[in-house]
Amino acid sequence: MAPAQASFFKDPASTQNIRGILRVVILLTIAAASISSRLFSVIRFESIIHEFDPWFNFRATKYLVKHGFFEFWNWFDDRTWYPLGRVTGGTLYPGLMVTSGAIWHALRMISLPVDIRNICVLLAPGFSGLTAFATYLFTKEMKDSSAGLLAAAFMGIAPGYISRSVAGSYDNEAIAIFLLMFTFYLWIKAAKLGSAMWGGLCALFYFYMVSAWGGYVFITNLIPLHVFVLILMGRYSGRIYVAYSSWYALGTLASMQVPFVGFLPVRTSEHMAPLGIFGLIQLVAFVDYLRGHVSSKQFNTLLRAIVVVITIVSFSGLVLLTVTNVIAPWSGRFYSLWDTAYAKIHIPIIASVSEHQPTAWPSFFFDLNFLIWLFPAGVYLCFRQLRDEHVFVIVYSVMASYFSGVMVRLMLTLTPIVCVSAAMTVSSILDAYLELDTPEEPDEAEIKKAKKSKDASVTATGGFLSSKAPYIGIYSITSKVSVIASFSVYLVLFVLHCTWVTSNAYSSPSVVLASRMPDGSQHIIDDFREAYYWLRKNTAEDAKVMSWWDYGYQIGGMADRTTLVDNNTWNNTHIATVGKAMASGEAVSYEILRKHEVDYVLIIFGGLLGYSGDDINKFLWMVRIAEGVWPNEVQERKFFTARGEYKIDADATDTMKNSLMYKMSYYNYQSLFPPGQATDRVRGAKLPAEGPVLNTLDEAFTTENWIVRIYKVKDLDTFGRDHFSARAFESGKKKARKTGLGNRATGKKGRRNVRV
Amino acid sequence: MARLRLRSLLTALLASMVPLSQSLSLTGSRTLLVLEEDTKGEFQTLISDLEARGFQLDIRSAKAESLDLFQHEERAYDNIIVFPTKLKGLGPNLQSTSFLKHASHGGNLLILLPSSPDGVVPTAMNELAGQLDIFIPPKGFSIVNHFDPANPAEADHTTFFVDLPSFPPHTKNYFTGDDPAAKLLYRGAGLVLGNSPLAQPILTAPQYAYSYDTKEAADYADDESVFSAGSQLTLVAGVQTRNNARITFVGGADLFADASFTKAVKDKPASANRAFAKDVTAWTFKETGVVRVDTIEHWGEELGPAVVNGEVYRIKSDVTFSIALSEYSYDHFTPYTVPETDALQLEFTMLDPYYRIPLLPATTPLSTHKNSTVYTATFRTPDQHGVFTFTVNYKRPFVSNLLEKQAVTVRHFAHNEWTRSWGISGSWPWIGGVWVVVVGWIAFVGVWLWSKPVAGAAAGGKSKKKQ
Repeated sequence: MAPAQASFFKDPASTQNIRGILRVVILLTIAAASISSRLFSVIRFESIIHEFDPWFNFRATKYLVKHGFFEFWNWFDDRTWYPLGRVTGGTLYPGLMVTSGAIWHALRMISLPVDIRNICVLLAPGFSGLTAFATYLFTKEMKDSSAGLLAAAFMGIAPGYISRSVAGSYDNEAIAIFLLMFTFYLWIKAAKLGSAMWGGLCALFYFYMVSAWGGYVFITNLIPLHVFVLILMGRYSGRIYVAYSSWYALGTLASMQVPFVGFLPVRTSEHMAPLGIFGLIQLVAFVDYLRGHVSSKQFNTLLRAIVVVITIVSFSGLVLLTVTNVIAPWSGRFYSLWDTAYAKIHIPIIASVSEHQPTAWPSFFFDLNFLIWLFPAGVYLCFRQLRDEHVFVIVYSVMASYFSGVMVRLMLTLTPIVCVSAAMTVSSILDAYLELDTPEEPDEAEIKKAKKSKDASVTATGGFLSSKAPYIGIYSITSKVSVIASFSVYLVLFVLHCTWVTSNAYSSPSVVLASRMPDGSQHIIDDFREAYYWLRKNTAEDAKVMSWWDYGYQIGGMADRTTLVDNNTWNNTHIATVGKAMASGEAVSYEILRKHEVDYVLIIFGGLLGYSGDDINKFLWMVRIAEGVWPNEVQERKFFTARGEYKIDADATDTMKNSLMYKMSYYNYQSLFPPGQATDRVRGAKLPAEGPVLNTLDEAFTTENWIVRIYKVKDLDTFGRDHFSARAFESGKKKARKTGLGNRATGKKGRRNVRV
Repeated sequence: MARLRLRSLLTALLASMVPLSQSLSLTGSRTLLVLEEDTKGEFQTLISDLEARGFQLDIRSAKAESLDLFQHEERAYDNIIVFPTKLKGLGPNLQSTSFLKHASHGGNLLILLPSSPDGVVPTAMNELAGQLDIFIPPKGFSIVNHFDPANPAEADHTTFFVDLPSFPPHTKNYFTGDDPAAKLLYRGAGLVLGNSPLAQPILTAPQYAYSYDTKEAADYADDESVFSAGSQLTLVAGVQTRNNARITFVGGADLFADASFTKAVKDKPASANRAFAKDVTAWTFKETGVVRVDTIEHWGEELGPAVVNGEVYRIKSDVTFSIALSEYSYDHFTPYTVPETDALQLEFTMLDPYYRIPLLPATTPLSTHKNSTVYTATFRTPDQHGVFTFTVNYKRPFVSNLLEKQAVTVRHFAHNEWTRSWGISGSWPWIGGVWVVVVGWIAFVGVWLWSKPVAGAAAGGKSKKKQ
């Protein structure tokens, strides 16, 4: 019966329908698995928007839903970046908000009124199912549908992608990774078929991608690179020409319709590669046309001349345009991709973001588990076949590997290709080892024949040696069983790892903190929302809240109050102003606070609870950013002790102790402890017995665990005194003011000053 | 039932408050006079004049235990006059902090310092003055003016004539009474003001007057023992706090005493002291010099005056701002006019003022105001979007502080407010180019489709495909 069974399984024609149904079922299961594994945060905590950026996206979506698309497009947001405001409609990627807005309207149309918050929370898990599907399509083009299903499964649960797409993580990446994979799929399809329709579809999804995420530049550069490599390999063809030209022309025009992008595709260096390749491919096409009409000797001379002239002209043109500022030079973020130390020196605001730090090695394994070591094997498999689309995988792998090593957040772009490559590897292994038949022993003659033909083929096509090895098959049932068994173990371990990572590392909303009580039960620390709720309920509607920019979006989203700076770090000077206010003494800070009409100052303090992400730990970045703008007024060196230590205890420098941030953090903190016992649990330092004194601010609110502290900025003194003497007078030191007249009034002699 | 009772109670309460609120002072009429029985006789005219103006006077001794300026954290009095006393320390509830609290809750204060060099200045008053950047000389100081003494026969010349205050033309003068030429009689130690912008001299000493230590330097006053001299020496100082409470220090209480009201001055039958006392108390208790903002209206050219006080304007569009001001004068509001040489200014501010332009009396105001002057200014919003503030910051001596801020958003051009492409003549070649390409393409397709292929061309096409 065995052979019959084998043939039953192997006969493609008879099982096509069943396979088709199975594929659909498997894909649906994968989608369900990828959605459900992202729901940990909702189950553990609640349906809440996470972190920082999602709060802005959420607020923008609410605005879109409330005011309509037209208003959204022209939105001038006067509640952020006070008093500068932000032309929000023109400085955001609207794709995400429009997507959820459309879903909201569609659901209402079929009489399913769903709260917009729930759509926002569940958008990322929903799209992760689509991403799995797009990965399936993409991998199917590379190998076959079984590899595609594996890739879809990997993509569905790989922690590298889950980290940005758990429920509540309502960020651009939530839909962008789907768009990335789908655009690539369409591009492969277009390049394979040489079809203008697929090229146009690719451009359409490219436009969607541009409207959704700044990472579209990755596509913008990867597709031209693919084409360029193909041309260099001598694989130019009419198919590539049609696919690329239609993608570039339509895609670029479409992308320019997004206000935030505007003329960038023709004005910045980041976008010059596709334009250059577009020019190049026209030339190549022209040369290709010439070749059919000119004799080969003349053609070679002509070609050489053309190449030299074009290179010189285009390069000098590019330099000239860059020098004359027609084309914007490379942006700082771009430089930091090549030199990881660049940002730290030149643009502290970029370096201060934790997700812009270089990746630590363990995080590759943490985010991708066994996929990371299958990844090179998959790339190797691509070399063996090396069709046009395999070149794409190779180019993508090389670029994404490099970039993911430079910035943590770019791990996200690496994950899809790792899943695809690893799926190809696993699928190849399973193909080889799951074969039920033992292959026939080939006889000597056949081997010789094969060798000969191999040699011939090598010399004829000039392909890679490795790609010509004959497929033989596995003979021993033992090796089959052992390999299959070990891979099954790996796969199971992968699933366990993914689940563990998702549940432990990536499902915390960071707005709500969870800790364990001594008895093991979960304790929720809800200080952030406590503080934001206090602001919402107890302050004036138009109160201005100053905080470090990390909390800007949250204050805007949760407390609905005007902020000075937020996570959209478009104005470095404004951020530096806030940094200066935090880093300077009260007298200087008060001037800044008054000028910006600040009503409340909000800081994060983790000293009591041991929450390490607090403002004192971020303080040096505030100092650095402020120093970048006012090098004479704020100096990082002065915040370090003589021995170069960053201290907050009795050894702290005077600059540190007098800075507003230090004072606000430790104001009244001593009152919690017995005299002289005040300890900061984050920095493990004992604080001086005498706490700092605040003259220009009043403590307004401190949360349960002291994580958020809010201070109210005092108004000018009613009697025209400065706050220092006013406070000194009220606290009982009824000294007369230190003026010449003061002495006079107490009966001392001396010259009086004259009123002018 | 309970609610009804409460309502009737409230009505009764309101009814009982009607006579209270009939006061002519804008702060209120509950006035505390910190006055000892033995000195009461010296200020009878002042007291009866105040009563005649509608103030409800409560005369209490500084020593009174039950005296408290606050009741249930609310001001118990609207105005306080502190008369000279022999006590160094006032009662337990009359500390400098309680007076400051009174003022920071909007209450007014008039402080009369002793005229005699032997008089005692209570510690609370010294501290209060110190906080306000006013300096009171120590015990034993007195002003002399050897050039214009009231009684030349008197040896020490400590009582002398003073002209009524005169200020530069851009400052309003509320202190000249009916006859600006009349003279005042003054005796006392005088004050010196620091550089606080809130403290203003109402009355300064004559040019040759100086304040010296009558005890230590009775015979000869050198520079060391002179407190201050000439116009640097202030006789009456007015402080207007940031919340528009008023605190007035009078250097010598005799200025307001009955004795000086009736004395003849040179050719005139009576001194100007009584009229001046009225002016000073009226100013201190906010019967004069209080400017009120009746309305603020601003509108843009986009929507016109139909939409007033909108929150959003566009960059580069005309905006009109108008403010109606009236001034209180004893018992009614009158239109406030800015002195000829002064200017009421409007600032349009985002961090820094983008505009600072004069507000001028409107000839045709948007809405008519019976008792106020309408000042307007029209300007074009700058080419900078952001949150701007209309600021009217009018702080002048003796006029209550005016700081009006109204934040508005100045937005950018909406995407459909720009000139369309065909409206820009420079774009015509490009638009022309677009249409040439479109028409050319259609023409080409037409020619291609309807032209019969030649046999040779088809072969060429095939060979091309092979490549």
